[in-house]
Amino acid sequence: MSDTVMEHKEPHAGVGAGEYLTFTLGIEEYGIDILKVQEIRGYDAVTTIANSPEFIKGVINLRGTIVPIVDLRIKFHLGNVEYNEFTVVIILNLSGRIVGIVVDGVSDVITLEPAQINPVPNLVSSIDTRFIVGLGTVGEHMLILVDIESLMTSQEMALLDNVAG
Amino acid sequence: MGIDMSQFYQVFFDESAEHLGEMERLLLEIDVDNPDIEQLNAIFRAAHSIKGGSGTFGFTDMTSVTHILETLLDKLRKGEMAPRTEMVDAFLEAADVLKDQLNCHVNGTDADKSLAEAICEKLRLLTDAGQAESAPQPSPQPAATTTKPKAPDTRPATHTYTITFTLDNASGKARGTFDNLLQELGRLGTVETLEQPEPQETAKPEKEKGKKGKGKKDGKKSKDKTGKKAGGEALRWKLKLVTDSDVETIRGSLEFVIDPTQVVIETMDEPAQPATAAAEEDGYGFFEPLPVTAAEDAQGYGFFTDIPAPAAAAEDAQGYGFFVDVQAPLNAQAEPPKTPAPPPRAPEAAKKAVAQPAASSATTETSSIRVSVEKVDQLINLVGELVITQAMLAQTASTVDSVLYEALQNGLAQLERNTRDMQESVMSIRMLPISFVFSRFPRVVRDLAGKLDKQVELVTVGENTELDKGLIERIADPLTHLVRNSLDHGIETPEKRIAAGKDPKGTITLSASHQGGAIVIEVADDGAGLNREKILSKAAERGLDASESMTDQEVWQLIFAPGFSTADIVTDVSGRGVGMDVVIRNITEMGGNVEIDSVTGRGTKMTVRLPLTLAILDGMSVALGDSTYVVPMGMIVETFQPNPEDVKAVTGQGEVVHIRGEYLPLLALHKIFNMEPKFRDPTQGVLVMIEDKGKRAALFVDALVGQQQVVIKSLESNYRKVSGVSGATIMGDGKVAMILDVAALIKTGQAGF
Repeated sequence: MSDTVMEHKEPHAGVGAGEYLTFTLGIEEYGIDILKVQEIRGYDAVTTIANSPEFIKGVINLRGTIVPIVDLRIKFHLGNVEYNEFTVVIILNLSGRIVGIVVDGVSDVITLEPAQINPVPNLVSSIDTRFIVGLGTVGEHMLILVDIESLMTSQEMALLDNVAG
Repeated sequence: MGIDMSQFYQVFFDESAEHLGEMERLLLEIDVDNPDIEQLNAIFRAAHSIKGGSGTFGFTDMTSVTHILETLLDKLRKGEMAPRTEMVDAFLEAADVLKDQLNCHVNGTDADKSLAEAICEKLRLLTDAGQAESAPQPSPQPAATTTKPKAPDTRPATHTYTITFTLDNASGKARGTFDNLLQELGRLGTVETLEQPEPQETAKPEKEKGKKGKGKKDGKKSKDKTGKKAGGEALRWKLKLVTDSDVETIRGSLEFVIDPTQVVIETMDEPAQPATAAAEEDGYGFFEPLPVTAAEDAQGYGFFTDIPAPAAAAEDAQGYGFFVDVQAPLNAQAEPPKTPAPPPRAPEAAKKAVAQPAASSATTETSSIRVSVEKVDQLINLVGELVITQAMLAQTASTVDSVLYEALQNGLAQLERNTRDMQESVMSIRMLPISFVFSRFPRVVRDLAGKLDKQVELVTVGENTELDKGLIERIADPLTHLVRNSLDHGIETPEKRIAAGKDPKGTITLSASHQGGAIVIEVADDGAGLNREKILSKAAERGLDASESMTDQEVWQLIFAPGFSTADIVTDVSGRGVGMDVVIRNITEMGGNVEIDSVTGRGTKMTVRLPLTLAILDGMSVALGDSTYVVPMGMIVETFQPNPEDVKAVTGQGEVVHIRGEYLPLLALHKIFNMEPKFRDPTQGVLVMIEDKGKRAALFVDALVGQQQVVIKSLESNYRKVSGVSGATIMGDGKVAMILDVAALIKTGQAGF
């Protein structure tokens, strides 16, 4: 994993520095690169897709574009899976692909300096550690920084056709 | 001047591609023994346009090739040489080289210089060889014309011209420019200076001197911009030139050095040339060995006033390459200019008559505008959104009291009609005739038939059938492959054909037509047909699932397997077995399919069926549980509710329904999609009879909801392909509904579930 971010002297544009959107899944707090976030909205009117995995709730009409919605709580077996007026969907724009993820709640956008980012020990997390790029510390909170693009485009998410031909 | 030329590159690339296409088409049509002058002219013009443009942009490799091409073409069209088949072949080869060079410029790579040099050499040899022969006159003009003077046939004798230059000396360079001009003219003939400014005038700008010109010249000058510049000064030279070149040649040789508006050329003798000039229309015909680098100096005008017609002012159309539109104004300028000597009326009247039919036959596109594809797509998207919005309004309006809001209802009905019309209009913008694809085949067939020593005639039918631009581009390669296959494997050699009692010349027929909501393209040949035994044995060899009991249709479909080939010899044309599966894959990706019909000894027919891709679809919405699905109307035969005795179960294969003597597989959508339906009993729900390629099935859903036009939205752009679903749409209430993939459903139905 990454062991490059221990520079205290000068902040350099390496892993970590940047702004992160923080959200909660279960009891854990995660942070993702704000630049990948397109918008945040509520949860409504999802059309189910036949024969799809349970964590893929379906698709929505986002101002004329069909966007699939993935419930990370189901995928990673976290939290209380209910859908009400407080349910939050983060719409991501991953290199042109628009995808929505359902999370428990969204908190803040915070800026992290490289100094605040630590490498990942062998912690057991709901999300596979290969998608975790670091651990951020803000005060007492620990943020699990996720490479959301790799996560969402990975095979297990079954969001893409990775089969050739 | 520091104009950034690169912004114009794309225009040049597009137009050159068109010119090259036109050139090739004409070259293939030309009859070597009896060439049509107009065709030769058109080919010349195309080469000339490319040369001008490439010179402007500094693509010197293209300029050199087109220059030599042009020289030879000019001789041909003037009747100095007779066209021969080797020349046509060389021209085609040159066109290929130019195409290659153009592509390299588009992609920023370097072209192969040796090819260019080779073709230049070949053309040069042909030019020199031809010179030695006496040229029989090419057949004169199309029958449509009246008494036309045989202008191309008569070599113009020596002419005398008076040329007046007006140069602006604001920069003090007028003298230098004039020396250049003198040099150029000196190459064309003998020059004598009649008048020139005083030496001290050329040194620095002064007030404008009085005109020394003759009276009649004043009347002829339509533009005299240079003389009126404040602070600058116009210097005038008058020369006498004796040459056997014609006016355009002179203008042509001067074009790189001077602005055409600064030159006035008058003939001092019999005006045989104006007729020549007019008849040739845009024939610029400068073939003096101009240094190619001179092109860089010129902020290329590329086309210029044809004849110093004072009335028809130099309409230098702004911009560089809008040749299409220029045809019109230049034709207007083909009016006979006033010349000092009395012009013969007859030739002028005749040449006008020539200009008209020549113009109409030369330009196939009359008025058109270039629009970028993105703009059109954007427009189509917006129209799609409009359809959705209109559907939403209609839906909302259906709930209100129709009596109270009658005006509203009427308005909305009107809106629906308007939206539908607009949508059809916009869709048709992207539709192009399939001739765009078919046009490349004469060349392919000619080259390939020559290579394989076969005699083949290509017949095209239905070239006006239109299809979406995107499809045109994607269908070209698969079709080419099918045609090459027909030529290579289908059509036999002339000897074999004679032995079989057939005409030694084989025929390949390309036809296109609309059938239902699809476009059908057929590639048929009268060759040997597919060999069933060979295919079956090859399939067995490769371990494919094949048996004697398969129908002919099924056997033919085997050739689409990857790596499949029954060819004994692998040629570079085909036989390696990588073609057909790519073809079928490309076509299925476009939503189409291929059928094969073949009769041994008689021929083969491949039928490609493509949807008329539109983004908007007539659909019937059906309910399944809480969800709504859309079934394309074009694939629905009828809907009905079956009687209990008509629904039968077939062991191991599910259920079938009996309808009017037919048994159709019953496809329960709730089973296919694993969803909770309202009705599990077919007799309580609705059966939708769907059909695809002649195969039918009955789709069991809960209820019919309604019928509407829907906009097809891509599911795959953000998600992936879902089996059984061909796309998604947004319904009137803003919710997403899936569009069923009827073809796939029927296929699963056939296989049983």
